[in-house]
Amino acid sequence: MAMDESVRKAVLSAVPSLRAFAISLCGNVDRADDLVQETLLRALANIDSFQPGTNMSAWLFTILRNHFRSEYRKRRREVEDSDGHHAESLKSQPDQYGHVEFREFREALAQLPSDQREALILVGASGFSYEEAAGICGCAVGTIKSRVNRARTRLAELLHVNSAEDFGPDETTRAVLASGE
Amino acid sequence: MAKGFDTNQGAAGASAELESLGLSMNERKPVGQQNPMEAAATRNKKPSSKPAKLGRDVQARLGQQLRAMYDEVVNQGVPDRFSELINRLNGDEKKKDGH
Repeated sequence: MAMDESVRKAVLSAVPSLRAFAISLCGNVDRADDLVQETLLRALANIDSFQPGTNMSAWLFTILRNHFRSEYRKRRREVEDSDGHHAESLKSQPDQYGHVEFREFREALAQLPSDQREALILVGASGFSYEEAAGICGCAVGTIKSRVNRARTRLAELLHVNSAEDFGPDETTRAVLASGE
Repeated sequence: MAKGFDTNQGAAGASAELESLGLSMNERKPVGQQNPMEAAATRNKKPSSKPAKLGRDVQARLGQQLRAMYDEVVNQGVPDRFSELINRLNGDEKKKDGH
């Protein structure tokens, strides 16, 4: 059955964010793109199970996240069974994301437990509501909230920040803080 | 006593700093008479040793960094391999249906 044009557009427009999410999950652009490709193949093969009018992005994120959990984590366990491996793979590929400026931040992010990392990304970067993130992760809304809180606290610890000034001199920060006062 | 003066000035400085972050030192004002040793311990306690909630400024900055990192990928748009994949699958399906 041919895809409805609006469905095709919705899938296409979800791809950039889907990639960013995949990269944050597996910490490697090539593997992330494979993950996105497999997600799209699965989604398009089962496009009839998508309910029109619901959130296409959330649907695709759910497929990607479940696929990652079942396949990639299994595969990774065979190689290395620690979250440290994720951090190490990032350190060895500082240019994977293009810019070096987020390196320290990415390394700290990579050290978070995967549950916390995905919750923080979904809510803090992908722009999903707590409810949507809970749907994607298949858990309670309260669980997502506490994971996000723990992720933020841990991230601040890892980056040794107690106030925004600890992020170092940064004009953007100063501007943001000044306008916020 | 001059030493005590210095400490007080330091506390005042810290207070101003905290207030600029939207926090208040009011809760740390001693109630009634306080043991001098305890008072000193309270003064010397750094704000960072409190397992308190993250300040709004820190949360905002973490969020900003997170989004900047994420958007760096988002701004790369849709790589050809994916637009081609979607169009190819769609085209294949159309052929099956139509012709």
